[in-house]
Amino acid sequence: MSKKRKHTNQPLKSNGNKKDPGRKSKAKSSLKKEEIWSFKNVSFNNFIPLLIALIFFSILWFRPLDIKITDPWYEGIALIDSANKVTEKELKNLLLDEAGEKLSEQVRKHPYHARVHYLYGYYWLQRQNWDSVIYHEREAIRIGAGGVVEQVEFKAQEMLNYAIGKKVNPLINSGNNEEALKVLEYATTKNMNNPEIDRSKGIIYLRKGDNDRALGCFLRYEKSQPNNVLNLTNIGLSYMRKNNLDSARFYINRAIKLDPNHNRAKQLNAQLNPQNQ
Amino acid sequence: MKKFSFSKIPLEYYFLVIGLYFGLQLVFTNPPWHTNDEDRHFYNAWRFAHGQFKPTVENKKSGYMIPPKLYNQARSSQGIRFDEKTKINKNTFDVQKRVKYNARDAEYHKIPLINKLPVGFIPHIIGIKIGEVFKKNPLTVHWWARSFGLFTFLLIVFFAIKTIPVFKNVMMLVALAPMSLYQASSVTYDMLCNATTFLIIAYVVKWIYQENSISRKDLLLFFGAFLILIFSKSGYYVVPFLALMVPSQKFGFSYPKIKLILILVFITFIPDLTWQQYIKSLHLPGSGAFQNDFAFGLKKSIMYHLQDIPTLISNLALNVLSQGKDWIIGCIGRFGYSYIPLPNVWIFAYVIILFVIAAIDHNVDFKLTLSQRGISALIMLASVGALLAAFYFSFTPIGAKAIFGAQGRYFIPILPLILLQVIGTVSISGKKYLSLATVLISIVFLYQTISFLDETFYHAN
Repeated sequence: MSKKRKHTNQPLKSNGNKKDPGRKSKAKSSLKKEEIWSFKNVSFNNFIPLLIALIFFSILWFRPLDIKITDPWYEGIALIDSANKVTEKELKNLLLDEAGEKLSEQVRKHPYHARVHYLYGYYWLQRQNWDSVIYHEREAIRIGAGGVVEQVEFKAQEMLNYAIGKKVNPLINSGNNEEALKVLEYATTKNMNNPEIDRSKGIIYLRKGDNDRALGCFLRYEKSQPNNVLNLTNIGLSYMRKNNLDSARFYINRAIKLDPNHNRAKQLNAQLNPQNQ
Repeated sequence: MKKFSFSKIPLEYYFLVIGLYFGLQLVFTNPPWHTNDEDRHFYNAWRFAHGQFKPTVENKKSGYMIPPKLYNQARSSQGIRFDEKTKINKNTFDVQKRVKYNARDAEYHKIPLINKLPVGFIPHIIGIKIGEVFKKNPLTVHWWARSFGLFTFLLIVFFAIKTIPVFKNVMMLVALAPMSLYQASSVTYDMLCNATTFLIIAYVVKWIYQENSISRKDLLLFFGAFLILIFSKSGYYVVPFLALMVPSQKFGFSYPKIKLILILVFITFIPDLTWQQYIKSLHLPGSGAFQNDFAFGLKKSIMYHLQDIPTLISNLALNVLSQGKDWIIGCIGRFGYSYIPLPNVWIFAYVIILFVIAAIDHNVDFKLTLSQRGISALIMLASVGALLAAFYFSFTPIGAKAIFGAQGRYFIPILPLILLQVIGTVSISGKKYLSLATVLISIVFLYQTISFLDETFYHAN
């Protein structure tokens, strides 16, 4: 332990304080009862920093003000959650309108935040505006992919896949292949997994008679969905059209094994093996 | 036979014994690589121990060469939830201890924190080198690294408590607070940062107290401590300016305050002028974005917030009010990446004890003038403000209201400074048993902490 300073009643020059040990007790004794809690009381003055510290600590610990701080983009999401909880249509729309205003403002202010695009895409999902969902989720992936933590790209891709399906399937079903293809080309995101795009593109190419491209798409889709009967049937059909009958039989057989009642597979099987009929 | 007198043994020796006993328990009770970012800190310490000062670049990403067996063992320890169902069985350590790595069989790994300085890891590097002499096993070497971190912390804080003439009990209680000792017995540069900040504060209090001029040796040690602090972790630049509380005449040279400010500012920039220049000269591609869902950036963030200063101030205040309790809990005892806190009642009690001891742990010779109290309060507020501002501007998404990433453990270095604000606020006689109380409080709380961690992290069998 360092050398102890000798206790002395002499004033300390070092810190500039004139010290009089008797001063405090004299001051105290000369105080009236009502002056104990006044600023005239030296002990009370000394006590003020501790009092402030304890009050401040109590405010932080017991949280009497109950302050919750929310980022503006999460305020928008909270409104969407509220909208999803109410059954009254008008109120639901009002809440969604407010959420949309908040989130669109945030996207305008912070176009560099991938998460905000992702959340705004979620808003458009509620509105079933698939073009906007595709645009914002694509932006979220473009800006935000590649982080080690708080990855946004995978959830954004999930939402994007859903929106692509909703947008493209009606177009394909109504024979609007060119429009559907445009949407699919636009929605394709680099380095991300979206088998649905391959599946849809395969169907369009198959309808257009581009069997090579269709086959490529269906085979890529097969890697993520190896037991999808319709896709196996489509692969079989593509091979059949390319006159590669052995491969066609192989895939059709696989499809029938998985679902013996699949009509399209059964039809193709009949065409491939007429002697069995 | 001489009668044992408790008060005859200086407090720093009690600190050393208690710190060593419970610190070593923490080394082994805290699950391997469980402290925040400890895996990455360990990789960094390991690569420095093996002379890898220059990062390796592969596929346009910076990283390091780490033996796969070491990397995999550390990695397998991550992400455990530590709830009722997921705990560790201590027997798994026996299996892990059988693994041996070969330092030459290293593989490239993309690891963040590539620009970290080696100074903060020196004690751990020594631990790793010594550990490897015995057995090149990841777990064993990790425990050695932790232990050497602990020894260094205890040594520096021992010296700090020895140096500080008053406020010893507070210094000991802060250093032995569960979270502080937990950090000290982990592989992290926070250990050196916390210890050196305590030492800096101890010197300032000593200089205020002493009648004589400040010795050259003291000044050199003070600047040396700041240099180590600044090379260990950035963000605590303001604390050494506490020396402005010391009356000018004690420095023994002309214009002391101006010179002091200039020297401290110069030291602040030394890492930028040396190590960071070296890293910049390597033109490294970076190790990829750690978090990419939001945009971050000091300049952009400052520019954004300067457009609306009243909102900025209100946001900072609201953050203190809404996150303050979490920061207090994190400062006293919230452990590792699983963020498991000590029970609230223990934390509350520890904070109250700290305030009470800080208020009474002084003597009649130590009195601060109003201006000294003012400087101290200003430095404290500036330190807290700088810390919060750093997180708000650098680690919080641009435009967000809630400060992101600020954790209670970051307040440990400035905790003595916060408590210094209440020094001498209560005058009581009969402080004969204060040291005894401090020792008992430390033992009780650390015993409780070890039991709590053991129960939380491990299966009963």
